[in-house]
Formats: sequence, structure tokens, C-alpha cells
Amino acid sequence: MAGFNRILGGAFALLLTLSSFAAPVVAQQPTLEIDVTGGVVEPVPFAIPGFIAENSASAAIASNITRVIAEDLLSTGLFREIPKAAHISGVSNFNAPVQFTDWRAINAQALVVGAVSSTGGRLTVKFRLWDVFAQAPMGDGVQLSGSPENWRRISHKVADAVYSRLTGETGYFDSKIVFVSETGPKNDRSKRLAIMDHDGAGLTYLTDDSSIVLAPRFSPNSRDILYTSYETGVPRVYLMNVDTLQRRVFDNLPGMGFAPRFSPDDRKIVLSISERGNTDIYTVDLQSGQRTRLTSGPSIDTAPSFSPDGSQIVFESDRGGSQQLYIMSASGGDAKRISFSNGRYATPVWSPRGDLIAFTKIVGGRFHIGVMRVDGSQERLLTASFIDEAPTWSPNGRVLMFFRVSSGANGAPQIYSVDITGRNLHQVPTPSFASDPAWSGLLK
Amino acid sequence: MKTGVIISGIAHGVMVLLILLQLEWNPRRPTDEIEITEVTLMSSSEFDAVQSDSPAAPDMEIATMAQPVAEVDEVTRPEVSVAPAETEMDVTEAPADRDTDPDMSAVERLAQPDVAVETTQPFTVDALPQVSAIVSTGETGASASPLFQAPPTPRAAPRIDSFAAPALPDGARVSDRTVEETAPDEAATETVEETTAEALPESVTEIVPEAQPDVPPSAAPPRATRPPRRSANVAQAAEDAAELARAAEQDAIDALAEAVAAEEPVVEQPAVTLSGGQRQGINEAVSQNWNKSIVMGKENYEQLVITLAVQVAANGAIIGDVEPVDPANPTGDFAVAYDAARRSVLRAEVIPLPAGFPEGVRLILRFDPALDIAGLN
Repeated sequence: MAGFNRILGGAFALLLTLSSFAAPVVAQQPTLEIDVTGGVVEPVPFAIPGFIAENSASAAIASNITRVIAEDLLSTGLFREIPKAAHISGVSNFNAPVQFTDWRAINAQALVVGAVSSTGGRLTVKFRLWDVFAQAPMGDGVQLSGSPENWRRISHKVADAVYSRLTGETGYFDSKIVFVSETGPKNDRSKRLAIMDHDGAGLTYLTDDSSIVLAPRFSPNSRDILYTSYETGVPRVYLMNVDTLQRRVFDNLPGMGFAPRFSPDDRKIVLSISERGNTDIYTVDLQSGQRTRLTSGPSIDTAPSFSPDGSQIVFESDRGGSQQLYIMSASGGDAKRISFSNGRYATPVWSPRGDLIAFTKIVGGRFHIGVMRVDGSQERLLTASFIDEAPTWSPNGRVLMFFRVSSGANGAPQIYSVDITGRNLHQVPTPSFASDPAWSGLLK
Repeated sequence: MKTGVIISGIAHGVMVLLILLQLEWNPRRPTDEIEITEVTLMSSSEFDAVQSDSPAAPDMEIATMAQPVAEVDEVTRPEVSVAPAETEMDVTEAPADRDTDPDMSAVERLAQPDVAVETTQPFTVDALPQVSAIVSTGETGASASPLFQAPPTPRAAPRIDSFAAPALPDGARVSDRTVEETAPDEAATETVEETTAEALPESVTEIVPEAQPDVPPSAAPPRATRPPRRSANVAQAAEDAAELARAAEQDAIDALAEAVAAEEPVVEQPAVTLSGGQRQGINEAVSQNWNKSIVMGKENYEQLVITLAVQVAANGAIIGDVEPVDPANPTGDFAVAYDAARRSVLRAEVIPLPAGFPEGVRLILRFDPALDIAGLN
């Protein structure tokens, strides 16, 4: 019997073995592994046929919207528009099948198709973005509507959506720049606050030129502006609402206030106050007006900037004998020096991403705009000029604006923009001289 | 003796039964089947019908900018001023043309945009337009689009021995002793001297099998390893058989567990080998289309290494779609890096492969953005 059990056991084993062979077997193809190295760094070619005007009332505005979207994308330096003369096929209907072979033949990697209609005092813009080589849409189609006079904002929003889908980052086109507009000769320059779109369009002045204004800064909600004015003869910090132009002055400060900035939560400001020859950093609660001193000592501590999470502050100080960058807790205390190379550092600004700090560096008689990691490592100088100063971050942390002063007897400031890789340096158009730019967040 | 006959009969019966059941249970290999979906072109009338049926995009407003309160009484509006003539500058960069003239009229309250952004899905992406590029039903045979090519025909496995056995030497005689057929002794291992394959010279235009040592037929092993002799002790033989059965059972259980764990057991195939120049040719064909401009601006871009796979025909044409390997589901910055890598493969269209390259090879490409940047200035 025991022998029979063994036989049964053996038979069971055979059954299991054979049943395992009966399982599905997939033959894997021969494989070949290749390391791809090199690559190219050049603008990505895209095509944007004119947005289709779905009624006669939108014919002119459709063309303008197409141009603003294209110009927004081109301004990044990441994209290159394929001229319309090279287009093989056009798009006459928003829902028409895309002839991918035609767009592929001219090496268009992305295709933006859109349509515009204007009915009942409402402007409607819709678009689709196509990956030509994958022959697939990149995300769903999007439709935006608004009043016809806001066609620029609608265009910027479309461009932001296209940019976001192509780069994986949020855009920055639907944003504002506040800056100091300067007019007149070099020895008698008039200054006033102005605000404009990121591309220089839609310029509006916020103050007159009766007094000198300095260093405007946007609030996180992009509706308020902090700035310094010599309206009363001494520098004072003002808070202005850009919608109502109502102002509030911080007149209870013990000395002269400079370089104010908002905290990320919009509830307080940080600034430097100069009192009896000593400059230190303070915070002021916007509700209660309570003032908190963060630094002390005989050194000059100024140009504070919050980290995006509000937990730390980067600032410049000469406490070590030369002008360097330091980081401390948002509640004050010990500061850690993060800049160590030759030269002087000024106007540090924390990136909205939180990974980099932009700064002005003065070395060898020249000014530079640069970035470094928050621990001071991997410093990169992006520009070099007679004077480059006061960087400000785009809402997505990808681009910096600053102002550059030309040399010579007639030297004057102009606003420039540069990518954090150091490429795509270009001047931002303004109707007059311009300095101290500050970039808002993305508008809501 | 009688018991042995019974046992033998039962065992053979079970084996026959199992073989029969095996034939019934063996499922068809799913991978040999190719499902071809017919793709049709739309006529203009059909297209017009689709157009008329497409739903109108809803005007859903989920975000409306609040109008500002027009309270500007406490504010002294600045006087209208005209911008003075610009001072001559020594800046070489010419400003870009502005879209419109600036509003120089007055200090005005900023007009609040009235923009509603629709972030839902207003368009049905399901009804995608027909893709004309893949409608290539007119072609047949080997010239058809690689998208519809049949899978490569398996090559016949090489025979171990294809020549006749040498003649017996003079004076030799054949033994009259009968030797039962046995399975090779699994415990016996054959020691094979490790050799180093030499790469073919690049001037060779076709794949040539590696040179085999000139081994005379007489050098082959004269016979298989002999099995252990049968023991004369029947009881001992029964114990040995039971031990073997237990071992086989354990092996079967292990094999079954392994088969269950791996849903689709993979039969390993040898990797395709190419010369250095041939590998570089593939690298160049892909990398010249690999645009890293967007990836290079990413935080920690050097970490955005992408590995993808694509199947290629013998002529280098890409079969099917590109699929991510590592990461398997790229998201965030990895998704952007994957798009750039995939686009470079699709733009290459045809991978340069040497003549005689096997059909259906799975090309695994690893894109490291931190290596050898060309065109960066």
C-alpha cells in the first residue's frame, strides 16, 4: 500500500510538472540596448495656423489673438514658430481631421489649432494642442470666454496652457510687471510707478512723477503693491491697491524703511529700517501693525526676501566684513552665510520654486545677475554688464527680469529678461526708461 | 515480479492519460495572434455629418474675475504726462516691437479682466479625427506599413549534429550487451572553457556568424554520460524510486509555484550584438532628433534619465508605438523628458540597422540628458 501511495505521489508530481508546462509561454523578442547620448538644445518648432474666425465679428480679433499666443511662446526662447508660408495644409475648420503628414513634413512638433467667435458681447476662444509625431492630442481642448476688450488676457491664458502642456511647468504669460518708469535727463530723472503685461503691453501708470518712488513689490495675490516713496521728503513705505489705487502709509516705523516685501501668506511684510545709522531687518504685521525686530548689531542688514514656505529669510549683510548673502529663520536668530566667492552680493530673491536664490553680484567692476542653490552651491552668473541689478522671478521660477543701466553720460535703465539657463536674454519693451521691475504671480 | 508489472502498467496508464489531458489543456499561445482593426477613411459627407453632430462647446464659467470697487476718492490721480523723448542709449539690443501703443492717457483704475476659464473637458476627445497617416490599407505584402507587418517567422533551431557518424575503425566490433535508454545525469556538469568573442570588423556589411573552432567529428563525446547502474537490491531500488518521486514532487511544486508567480514565463532569447560603429549609428540617428532644450531648464535635469523600448523591423522601420520602460509611468518632469525622448525616436522614423538584422528586435534606448550636449552654446 505504501508503494502504491508512492506511485500516486509520483503521478501527482508528474501531473503538476506537466501542468506547469501547459501554462502560457511568451517568447521575448531579442533585445538590443543602446545608450543615447548627445542630443541638441534648440527651440522646439511649432505651428499655429491662424485661429479660425467663426463669425465675421471675430475676424480681426482672431488674427490678433493668434499673434499674441505665438509671441508669448516665442518670447520664452524654448520654441520656434514655423512660418505660415511653409505650411502645407491649413486649418479651415476647428473639428477637421488634422493632416499629420503635412505638419510632420515641415517638422512641426506641436500644432496649435483654435477658433474664435464673438456673439452677444462675449468673446469665446477655444483651442486644441496636438503632438504631431505622436499623432495625438496633448490634453483636452479648452474654451475660454470673456469680454472682447480682454482678448489679450484670454490670449495669454491660452499661451499659458500651451506652454504648460509642452514643458510640464505652469506658464507666466498672464501676469503683470510693476516697475519704476523714468523720464528726463540723467541728472533730473522723474520717476513714477507703472504696471504692464509681461510683454510690455497694457501699460498704466499708478502714481504721478511728483516724487521719487523706489522698489515696488507685488503682494502674493497680485492686487497690492508695496513701494518706497520720498513723497514727504523722507523715504516711507506705502501699500497700494492696484484696483482702487487706495494707499496706506507705514508711518509708525522708528526710522526710514527700505526694501519691503510681502510674506507668502500676505499677512505681514519684511523690510529693513535704518535708525540712528544702523540698518536692521523687521517684520510688520499688516493687521495689528506689530513690529518685530529680526536682526541686531552694527552691520547693515537689508534686502530681505521670504522663502516660498515662509519659514526662512534670505538677506544681504556686511556683518562679515563684506557684503554677502545670509539665511535666517523667519523669526530671526542666527544667520548662516551662503555666499563665499569673490565679490559683493546684493538684492537676493528666493525663487517661487524654492530651489534657487537670485542675486546681484558685483565683482571686477562689473555687475552680474546670478542664481545659486539655497545652500550657496552651484552659483551661476547669467549676465554681465555695466550695471545689472534687482532680479525678480517669473511666477513659475523659470525666468528672471532685472534692469540694466547702460554706461556713458546718457546711460539709462531698461528692463531685461533672461532664462535661468542664461539663454534668451532680451529687452522688455517699455515706452520710457524703466528700472526696479517686480513680477506678479499668475493672475486669477 | 507480478507487482512490478502492475506498477508499470498503472504508471504507463497514468502517463498516457496525462499526455491525452495535456493535449486538451494546452492553451493556444496568445502572442501569436495579431488583432488587426480595420481603419476606414471618412468621406467628406461623413465628415460633414460628424461635424454637425459634434456637440457645441459649453460655455461653462468656473472662474470669473471680481470687478474691483471703484473707490478712488482718496487718491489724487496723477496728471497726464507725455513721455519725453528717449535719451540716446548705448544699448545695442533693439527692443522688440510692442503689440500696441501704451496707454498713456491717464492713471486709470486697472480694468479688471472678465475672463472665465473653462477647465473641464468641453470637447470630446473620444471623437478624434481619423489619422490619415496610418491608413495604409492599400499596400500588401512586405511593403506594407510596419504597423501591420506580421510577426517575424521563428528561425529553425540549429541541429546539434548534422553529419554522419564516422565509420568504425577496423577490427572494432559492436557489443551485444543491451543498455536501457536513460535520461542524462543531471548532476553531471560539463565544464566549458570560457572564450571571449571578438567583435567583427566594421567594414563587414552583413552579420557573419562568429567563427567556430575547427572541431573534427571524432572530437565529439563518444557517448552520453552513463547512468548509475541499477542496484541489484530490489528493496533498495524501491527506496531510491520513492526518494526520486519525492524529489520530483518537490520540483514539480516549485515549478508550479514559479509558474503561478510569473504569469507569463519568459523564454530568454540571446541579446543582439552589434559593433561599436553600428551602435553609434543608431545613437546618432536618434540623438540628432533629441531636443533637450525644455529638459535642460528643469530642476535637477540630470536625474531625468529615461529608458524606453521600441520594436524595429529588419529594415529599421519602427513597429508599433514607443513604450516607457524606466520609469514605467513617467509623470511630472519625467513625462516631459519622456515626450522629448519618444519624439526623437518617432522623428528618426527608420533606425539604421546592418543588413541581416533580425526581424522584430526590441530596441531599448536609454536617454541621459547629462551626457554629451551637442549644439549647446
